[in-house]
Amino acid sequence: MQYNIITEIDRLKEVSVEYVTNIYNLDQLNQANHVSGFVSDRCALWIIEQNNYYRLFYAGDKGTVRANLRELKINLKSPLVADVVSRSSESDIFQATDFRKYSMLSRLAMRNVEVAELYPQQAAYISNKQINDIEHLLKDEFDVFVDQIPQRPDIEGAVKRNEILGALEMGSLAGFLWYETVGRTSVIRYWCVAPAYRDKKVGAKLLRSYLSQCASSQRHLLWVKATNENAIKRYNHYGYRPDGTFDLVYIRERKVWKK
Amino acid sequence: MEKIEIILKEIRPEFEFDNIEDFFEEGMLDSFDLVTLVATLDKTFGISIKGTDILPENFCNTEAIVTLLKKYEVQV
Repeated sequence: MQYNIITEIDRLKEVSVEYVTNIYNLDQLNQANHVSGFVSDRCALWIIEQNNYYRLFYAGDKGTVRANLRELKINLKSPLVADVVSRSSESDIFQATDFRKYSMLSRLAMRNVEVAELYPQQAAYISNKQINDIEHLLKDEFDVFVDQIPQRPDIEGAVKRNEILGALEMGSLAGFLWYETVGRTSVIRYWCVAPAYRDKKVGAKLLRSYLSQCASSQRHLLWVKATNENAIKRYNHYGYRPDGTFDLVYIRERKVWKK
Repeated sequence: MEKIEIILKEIRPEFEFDNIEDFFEEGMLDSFDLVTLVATLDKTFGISIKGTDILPENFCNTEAIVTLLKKYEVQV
């Protein structure tokens, strides 16, 4: 499959007036359960199945991709979702199509110099005992279309690599913060406080512990819903600022076309 | 060489890219940045980098990018 996709991309790049794509990682396509692929002279669309919904990838000439999306009439049993990572807060690819803007994430960044102080370690890395709690919180508190909810093997791997900090209250998991460090960059993947423990500074405890753990990173990144003013305000407090990158999530609800 | 460093700096202004062995292992570039980098190199040098060449090892440091561009007959 990889060979075909790369060959298609090469061809489409050659013939496109303005080449566009939302394929950022070929592995996503190669490892996925493909449902459909549509290839025309100047455009290719791929649909894969993911966590009980479908994800759309496109590549090709901008005008042709847009025209093909307008004409896309495939019956799917679940919503079809597409991500566009962009420096703009809108994507005109989906104009006048059956897709609507579902969510917009803004990337926040912080350089190490902005970590003004080191915080004492207040949270510890979680153990396998808390995996069920993490799984439930991910399922209940995150958006399946936006947050790419990890599966249990992913959680187990992260626990093994000491990537998940947890705050325990009387033996219960009050919240967790899952991060990844690659070289000079640390990225917060998920930060969550269980509903019963909100407004008790659990989130602050987790974030401070994370900053303390990753103080040597030169860049700290995270994605946040652009409409979540409360969270953005809190991140600003710690020194995070928007870096001008957006992840636009478009969705086409389940639709049945009559033949 | 200087042009490439300017492009890299535009994508990720917070880093110094000289004398780095692997931008990806160092966490200085990610897959989103790679797509932006390829598009910018295509546009700047009037080329179309082939999908088969869009591999991290061809963009992992400035020298690797220069080598790739030479393949497309770009004078850097």
